[in-house]
Amino acid sequence: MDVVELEGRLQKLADEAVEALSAVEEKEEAIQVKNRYLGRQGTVQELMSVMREIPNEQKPQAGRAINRCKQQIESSFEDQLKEIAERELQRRIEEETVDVTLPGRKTSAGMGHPLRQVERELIAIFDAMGFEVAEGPEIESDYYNFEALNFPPDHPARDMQDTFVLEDGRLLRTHTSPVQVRTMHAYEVPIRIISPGRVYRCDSDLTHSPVFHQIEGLLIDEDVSMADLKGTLTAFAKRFFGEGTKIRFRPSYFPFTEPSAEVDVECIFCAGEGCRVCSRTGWLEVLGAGMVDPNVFEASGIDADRYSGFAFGLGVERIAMLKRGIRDIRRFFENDVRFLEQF
Amino acid sequence: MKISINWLDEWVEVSDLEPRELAHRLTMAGLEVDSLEEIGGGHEDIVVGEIRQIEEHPKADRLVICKVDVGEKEGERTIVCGAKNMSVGDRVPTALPGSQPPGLDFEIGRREVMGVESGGMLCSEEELELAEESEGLMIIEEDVAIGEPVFRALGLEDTILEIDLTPNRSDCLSHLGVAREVSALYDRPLREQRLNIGAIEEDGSRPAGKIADLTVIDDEGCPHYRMAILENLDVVDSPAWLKRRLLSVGVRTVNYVVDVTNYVLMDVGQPLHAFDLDRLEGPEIVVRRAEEGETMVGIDHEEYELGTDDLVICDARGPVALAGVMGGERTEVSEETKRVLLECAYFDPTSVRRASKRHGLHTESSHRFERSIDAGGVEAAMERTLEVLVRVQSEATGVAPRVCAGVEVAGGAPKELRQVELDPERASSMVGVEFDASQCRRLLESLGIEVEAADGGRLRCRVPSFRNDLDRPIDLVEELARLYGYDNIPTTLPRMAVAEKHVRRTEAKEQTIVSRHERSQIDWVRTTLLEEGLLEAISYSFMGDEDLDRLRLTDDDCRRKAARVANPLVKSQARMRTTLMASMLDSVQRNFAQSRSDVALFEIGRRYFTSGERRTVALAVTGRRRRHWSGDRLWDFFDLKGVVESMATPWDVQGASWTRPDEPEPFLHPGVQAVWKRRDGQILGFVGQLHPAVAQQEEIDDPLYLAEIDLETLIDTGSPNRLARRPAKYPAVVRDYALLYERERPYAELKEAVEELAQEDDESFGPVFETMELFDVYQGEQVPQGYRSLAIKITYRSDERTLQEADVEAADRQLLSHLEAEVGARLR
Repeated sequence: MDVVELEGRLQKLADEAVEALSAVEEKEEAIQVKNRYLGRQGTVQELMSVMREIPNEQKPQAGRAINRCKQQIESSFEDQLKEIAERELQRRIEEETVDVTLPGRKTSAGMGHPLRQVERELIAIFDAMGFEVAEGPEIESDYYNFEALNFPPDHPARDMQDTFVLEDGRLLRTHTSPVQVRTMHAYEVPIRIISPGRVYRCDSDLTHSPVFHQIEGLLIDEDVSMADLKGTLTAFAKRFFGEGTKIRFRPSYFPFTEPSAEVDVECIFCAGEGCRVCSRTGWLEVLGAGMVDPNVFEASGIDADRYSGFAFGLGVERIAMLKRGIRDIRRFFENDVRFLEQF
Repeated sequence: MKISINWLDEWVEVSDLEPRELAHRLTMAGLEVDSLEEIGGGHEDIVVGEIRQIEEHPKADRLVICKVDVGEKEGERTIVCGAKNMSVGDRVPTALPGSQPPGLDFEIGRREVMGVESGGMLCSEEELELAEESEGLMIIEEDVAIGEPVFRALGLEDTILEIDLTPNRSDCLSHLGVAREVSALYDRPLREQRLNIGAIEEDGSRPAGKIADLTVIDDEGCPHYRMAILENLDVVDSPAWLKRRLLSVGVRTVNYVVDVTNYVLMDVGQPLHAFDLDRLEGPEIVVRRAEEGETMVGIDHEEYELGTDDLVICDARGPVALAGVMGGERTEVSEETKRVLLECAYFDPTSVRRASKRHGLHTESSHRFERSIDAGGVEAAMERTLEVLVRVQSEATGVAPRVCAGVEVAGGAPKELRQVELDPERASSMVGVEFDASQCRRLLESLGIEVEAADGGRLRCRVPSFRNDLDRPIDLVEELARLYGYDNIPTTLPRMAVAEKHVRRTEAKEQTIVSRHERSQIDWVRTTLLEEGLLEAISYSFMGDEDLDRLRLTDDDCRRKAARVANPLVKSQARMRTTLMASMLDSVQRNFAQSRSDVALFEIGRRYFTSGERRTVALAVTGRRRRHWSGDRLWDFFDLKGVVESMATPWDVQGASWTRPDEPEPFLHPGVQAVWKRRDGQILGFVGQLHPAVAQQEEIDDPLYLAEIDLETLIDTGSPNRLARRPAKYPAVVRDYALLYERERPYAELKEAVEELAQEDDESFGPVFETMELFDVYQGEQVPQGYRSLAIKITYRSDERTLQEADVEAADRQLLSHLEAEVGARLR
């Protein structure tokens, strides 16, 4: 056999092997095919035995032909393995593919009760303005709830706050102002606090609840003026209701402040144009405020000639009702999951 | 308080003001105008008509056919009418077709009435809403032009302001009071001539003091009492103008004597009372406190049992009026009354207020007395009342009543003008506006305050008697700010030192400031629970007696000593809650009623004990913890226990124990409840399942898991001191053990035994033990009766070297023999 014939037979074998390999689907099968040609008893190995018949000067050429054939088969085998692996991967990917539109598995973490949300937001704003939070008992004495706040006994102002009384003579605080008194008793001026908490009045309808929440603020220092009160509440309103919010002050009456004011915020729904929510006035009544009455200072042992201060208060429910469009205050206390889930 | 603009105009010129503008101005001055009602406007088609002819209707006895002249524009028209009280020449309100009288709910048309065409309708006072009820047509007595719209012609177009007055402004509980305010705000003179009454002709032959005796025994309750007597009365109906005035501000008309007293009340704010003198025994008036057991029937026909605190007006027989609150039926003025005794007094506010409260009687009179009336105006009010009474009766009957000579007076002259000193400098710094002395003077004088200069740049101010609320310098500061206009005050920010913390007074016992750290701890609890998927609840702080039974609390349970509310709105809110569990049950049931069976709620609220208020967190979970198409997950005891433990992460609760309580919560499943105790024995709270018996009675069908943790105790536990540990360098060896364990023995004992052994540093187990994890609990066929199988995983590791097989085997051996000896556990 000469080298040309050998080359021909090798090429034929290589072509055969490549074709066989390309039909293969499994890795095992590919190995078998490869072994059939390149194994110890493989057909290529068999041809090696004819090398002896090749003249010496042609041997290098024959050797190169054998190597070429082996390489062809080897590389075809490698390619095929890659292809098989690729197919395998494809199959796996297809198998593992999910319907991504099915609902995810989530822990439905809510943002908490709407009243707490508003309360926290309010606290955060005043906290940033340098007010510290103060707390006190909800079951109070007449002294802290009324007397020290300049509500004279038998005064009509007490009618403004229908009070729950306990059989032991104590009462449920009608505002968080007792905390202001307690703070004035316990701390030196300057004082700058807000007091959030539950308060009570005997009243129950669409807009009144026997239990509700207030946040009150108190600031006492030298030379505090009504202008400071206006500035503070304007700054608050801008942070809470939005940068462009306007507020207005109207004279009012509270026993513990003088001068006293009702503070209206420009209606957040109609921007002051007048709508149903603001009863066409363009204003929402949200805060009560004023300069601390000298009698309150006196009851707390603070020198009213040296110091002055302001106080303000707002109802958390009222704000939450406005912000969330809630008409009936009782919704807040029913703990209906369908209501709470919305927030 | 209702204010008629027309009426107000009698005191100060307001007719040229746009009512809305006036209302806004008053609101911004602190007299909040709640609503504004226009009356009589827009009825252009109800005009004055004059009756020219009246004929019988040919087909109906009860009807007449009138020819009515309604002026040039409309000419004469035929109107069929059912009334009989008119005659030719009378002027009557005529509703033309297309109009709708305010008292009717239909439009007037042109229609045929039994064969006669009727071109309109002649109206009664009732149909025009000028009276609550009336008979026959309204005959216009005033001289008005034919064809003019009736309401305008009679001056009945009016605007009524409803003013919501703050309790300090009792001076504005009358048209005069509001007029004073308008006068100051608009700088317009008060028409004070209304206050100047011409001399009333008195009959000197019958001095009042000779006719009836006046004795004021309690001059504290009644510092000032004036009594006048009128005779020869003819108690007629009030004239139209008086009725309309009263009607416009919502006061019922009775008879002219009563109406005039009410008119004066609304005009100048002085409540008066008229007694029928012929029904007064004695006749005498004694002002004193009631005696025990005395009663009085009021003009409302109710009988009142009087107490020794009640100030009463009496005759020789007993109480005839509850002073300042209500008169008695026995001496009430009626149509037969010929002589009245008129009372005009100043009663002590507290005394009136107490009586009003005690008897649940809130009247126009008590409302004013308890807020204090103008003590300086009592005399003028009496004069005015007499004047109007004389005028009204003279005009109506042509005969004036006789005013008996001399008004009897008891009690001294009203208080002198109060004097208050104002420091303009202090006022300026308080308001934040520079007020100079002349500006202060101008503003204060507009309120009727007399101002003169005093020492040190101060102003001495004499406050008129009608401003009871102005007592102190600060009261005047408020007036300055109010008149200056709150809106004109600038906005500045208070000077505040950065991060200045509050300083406790040295003698202070109490602490009110809550540090940011403490607040963040509460926030952590809240946020963790929200992240665990629970919803935040808020409920009332109350509970009822039935809740104590519902929770099956024993008689000696301290939660039964819940404080009682004396005036609860409903019985179920008659106690301050000592547990949040009843609220939780209510909330769960409310959700079940709405077909929501997956409920996970928590509430952070207080419990109220005699010893104080305790911030508490309560949890209630039932149904599915997770809902998913791939499989649901139901809440169970261990879920809730785990949630509670997660919530407590910031605190040092490592050593806290969960045990079956010695005294189980009566409303929890005896076998599924645990009490959580701190190392020092303080109870943190409990977790458990609702007792099946309670569940049945509450109709809660699915297992409900409840927990209540005292946050004060939890926070008080303090934070653990967490020192960083270097992560180990050498590899770990992990061993699993399946242990046979007595079924009734708590797992905690096993855990304790392992931890105890781990403490022994010089043995083979201690130094190489790293962690233990329980990963399976099994009881069933392969496990002998009375036992269960606990599968635990122990991780061994040394800080110093890689562990050898022999190290682990030695540790193993020691562990197993220790467990067998201590808790009877052995390998399966």
